[in-house]
Amino acid sequence: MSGGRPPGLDAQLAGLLARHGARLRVLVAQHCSANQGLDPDDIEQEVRIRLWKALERENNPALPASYIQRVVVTTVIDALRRSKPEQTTALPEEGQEAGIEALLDPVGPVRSARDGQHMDMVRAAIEALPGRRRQPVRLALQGFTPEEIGELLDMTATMAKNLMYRGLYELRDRLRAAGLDGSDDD
Amino acid sequence: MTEHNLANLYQASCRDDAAVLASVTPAELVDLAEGRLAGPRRAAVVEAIAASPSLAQAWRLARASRAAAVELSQGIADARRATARPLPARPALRRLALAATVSAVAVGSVFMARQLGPDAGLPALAEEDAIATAGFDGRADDRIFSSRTGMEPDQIFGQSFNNS
Repeated sequence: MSGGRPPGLDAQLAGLLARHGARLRVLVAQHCSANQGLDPDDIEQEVRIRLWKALERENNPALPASYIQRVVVTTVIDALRRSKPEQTTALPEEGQEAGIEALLDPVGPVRSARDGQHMDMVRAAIEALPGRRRQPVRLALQGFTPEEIGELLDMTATMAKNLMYRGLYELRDRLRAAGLDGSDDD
Repeated sequence: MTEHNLANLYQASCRDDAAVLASVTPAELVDLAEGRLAGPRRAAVVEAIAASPSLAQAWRLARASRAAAVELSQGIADARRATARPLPARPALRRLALAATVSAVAVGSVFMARQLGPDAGLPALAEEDAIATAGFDGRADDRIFSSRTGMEPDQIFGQSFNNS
């Protein structure tokens, strides 16, 4: 594996990648929710292989930090793409009894339909928000903090927080007016 | 309705985000996380993040992995530098190259001097500068701003500057 490398370098690089991998596993577990189908061990292993290949391929004395970040993000996105088909329900084959998946679905068809209706209502209510509040609300509902929203929208955290809370308040009002209130939460 | 329930519903409505996921490159996500993305592309990537839980996670990871990436990059550079083989020193070759360069410059300068003749290299005496000798107090020798010089009208406006 070492090619024409000086003795001892491979072991050092392997040690560095192992340490980086351990940190990466923690970060993936912290920042990527398990319900997206991501396995921190798989991500770490894949990133380590890709970086090792890059080290073998490149003659540069170093891999830039931005390159390493890109490898991590590419690996995560690839894993997310691979996990997508698992989340969808296959259509029944011809002759197969339709709706068997629905019967096996622990949520149940009635609840799924109701959730679908609620999702549509939420999306419509968000779209109806004033433009300045819409984006902070969508980002807040994706789980971003006011600091992160401020960073993404290039504004102060205080302003982001202000727009976010006003937007959420207005969103709840709109949903309540549309007949979707707390009594449906379960 | 609590914010948690709203978030669950919104994220569930965005789950089928394959097209949005494909609309952003990993490099753009990293650039955004590092504050290097600007303009309309930045707005488009933020819009995509707001519409995709997958991209939201990838952006968070890009941002969070910065310190670890910098450390690994530095570690790799240090390891490679420490184990790099130094180039063999060749003092005799270096002295020979220096002597050859000095000789070539000396021969070249003699050759050039012969080619250009005895006066070569001396600057030609400049003729009196018509502009610099002109007076600016309206005396007869002012050939620039005075019509008394009898100079032809200029070719641009077809007339002298003071001949309105």
